[in-house]
Amino acid sequence: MPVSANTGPAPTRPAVQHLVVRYAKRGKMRFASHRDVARAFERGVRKAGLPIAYSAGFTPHPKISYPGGAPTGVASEAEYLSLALTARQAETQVCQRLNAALPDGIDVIDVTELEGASGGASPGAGTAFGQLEASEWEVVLPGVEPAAAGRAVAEFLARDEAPVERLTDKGVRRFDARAAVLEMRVSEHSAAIGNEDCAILRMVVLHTAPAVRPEDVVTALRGQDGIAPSSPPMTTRLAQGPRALLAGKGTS
Amino acid sequence: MIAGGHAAFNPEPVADFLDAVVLGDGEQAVLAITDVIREWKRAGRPGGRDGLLLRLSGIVYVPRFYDVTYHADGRISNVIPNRPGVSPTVSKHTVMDLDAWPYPRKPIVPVAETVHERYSVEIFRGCTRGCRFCQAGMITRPVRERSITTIGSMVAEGVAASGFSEVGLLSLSSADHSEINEIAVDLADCYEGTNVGLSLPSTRVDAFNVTLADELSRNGRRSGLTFAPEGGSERMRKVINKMVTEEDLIRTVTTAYASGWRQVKLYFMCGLPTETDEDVMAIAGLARKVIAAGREASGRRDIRCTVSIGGFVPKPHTPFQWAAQFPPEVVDARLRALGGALRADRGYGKSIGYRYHDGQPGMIEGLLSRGDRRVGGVILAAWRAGARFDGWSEYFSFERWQRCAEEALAGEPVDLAWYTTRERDYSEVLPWDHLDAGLDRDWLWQDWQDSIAPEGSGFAGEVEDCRWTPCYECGVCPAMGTEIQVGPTGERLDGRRLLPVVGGR
Repeated sequence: MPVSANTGPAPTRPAVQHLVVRYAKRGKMRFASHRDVARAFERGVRKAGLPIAYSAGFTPHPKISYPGGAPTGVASEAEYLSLALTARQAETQVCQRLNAALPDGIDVIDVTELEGASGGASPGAGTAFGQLEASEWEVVLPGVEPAAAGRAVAEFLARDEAPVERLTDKGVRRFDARAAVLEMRVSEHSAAIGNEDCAILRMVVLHTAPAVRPEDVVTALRGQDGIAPSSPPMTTRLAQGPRALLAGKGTS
Repeated sequence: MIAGGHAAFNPEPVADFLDAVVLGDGEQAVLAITDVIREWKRAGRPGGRDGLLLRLSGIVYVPRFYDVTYHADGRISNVIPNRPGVSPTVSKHTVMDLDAWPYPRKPIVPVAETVHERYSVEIFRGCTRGCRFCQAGMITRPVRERSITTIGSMVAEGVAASGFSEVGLLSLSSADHSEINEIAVDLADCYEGTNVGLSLPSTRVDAFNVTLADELSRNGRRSGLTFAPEGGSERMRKVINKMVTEEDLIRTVTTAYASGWRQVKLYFMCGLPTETDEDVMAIAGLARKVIAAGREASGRRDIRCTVSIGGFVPKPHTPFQWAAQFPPEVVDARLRALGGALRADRGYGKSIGYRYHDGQPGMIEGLLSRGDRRVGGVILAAWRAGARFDGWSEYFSFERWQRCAEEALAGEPVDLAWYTTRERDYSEVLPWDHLDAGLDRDWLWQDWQDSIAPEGSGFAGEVEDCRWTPCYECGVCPAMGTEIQVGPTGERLDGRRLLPVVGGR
């Protein structure tokens, strides 16, 4: 351990502006864990020279809050976080400066000010991010015939429950993957990777506890004929929001 | 395949796998190498790879241009060039003006978390403290400082380019910079209230270092300080030329605990030349005195001391290059006994932490450290047998290395013990003797003899630092055409004007 310490807690200055940042995890960055992305953002905010607010105490942390991130290995076009700033900044400026400072593949899509949160108090996650009740996902299944995928999806939707197992930190957990799936369909767009056909699934999945991930849904589908992807599925979060807003995205 | 860095000062165990090896500082050597490669390509790549290596030889060491012959008993007989124009020895590179090379300017910052999440500034290179076990201190001579102003701008630009919130002021003994006090005070001024943290690596036992750490931490958290006495007994510290008295250590930790540091970590080695059980057990007594002094100085009982200890591995180009390494059984037995002694005293046991490294990996480190070209076969065999990430204890298999060493060295008069636990004599040709770090071989030998001479035998055991006392003729400066480059420059950092402020202000 080195001799190490901070130069002292900075005088905490109140936050006067809260910004909600929507960003994407693209390409290789889908393999960056949520924790690593969070640290990349902390560095990015410092590199961009944004007047970020810090928490009080002996180890002040930049005030950046995150709702649940996409699982490691999953790409996303709709990740969110919020920044608390000690001086007002133009949203477009923040967007540009962050993109210049962040690694390629962690791309800020837009920045919007959270109104009514300038009173200093940090808004709760619920208010900062609206109601992130559900996500729309795209899952590309290499080597799977779209027709076979269609049959498996129909069968899945007809079921009342679809028990699956996943290995978590606390051991193997068994839970239902069906109830959280609000909608699911096979995209009419076909795709090919190499000379292999790929089925593309679109689904809207509720954020539940325990979380049902797209991979859990694919696990449930694997029991069906013809659903044996030749390589790991490629998953992307397309949108997050209130369930009403996402309604209809997963149906044809 | 080109290798470099400190381990390249004995590349013989991996010579089979390398085209070329850079000895010493890389900054200028890299440019010289690329110039030669560019010329060679323009000329139509004459002679293919060997043609290129022939042009590079001298700038770099090209193992394939040297033949090694052996005596019947396994010792090296000779290492000689096998083609005309290849020099019998290869010298290290030395960058003399570090201010002209303020790198890295924009460090690569991985997205995945790294062990040291900080921007590191090398505040000087080289060390002449003369610790006899220390390869880095021997092969990087002479001391060359970066000026306070270069350090200031490197910190500012590095933090801005990397986004790191911590800066490490690195070197082999950072508190020895001629203007370390000014550097610490001025940087602390510049970054006060910015949430940019400053740190020093483990330091020599010296109360002044506590003052420095206090400065760098100002009003912040004072969690832990690390010191490296290395040897448990005063006798042992004389042998290794780490001239720290018990009084020095107690004074230093008292200062640390009194100024609010809660934890002190002490680094030691086990298996140093001439070491006895008593030398290692002395660490337990030292730790107890540290805790007692800390409790008194701080008036609290929740202060801690952690003893961290590993087995010593003799290194090439050091006075201990001739030494016999202790076998892992001896190291392990001493470490076990020390652990028992540290825990035995109920009044102190809970305040003393104990971390140690097992002896067996040290044996393989010893093989790789002082091996010759025949060790290449052992490495290849181990790799073929599945050895990967052996530095991680969960992947390390001593049995696999033993087995592979037996197989690969079956036709040779040498074995694992021959490379590690055997003491060498003056006349033996060492595998790295043709690689020149500038150190006078006779000076190294005399220093080795001084270190192991019995007390009171008339040898002047202690070597002082040549930055403050006359030259003791280690040979580096005349051999390499170099000289000590230290300040003070008298400059100061007016941080608030000079340095851009990064972070929440």
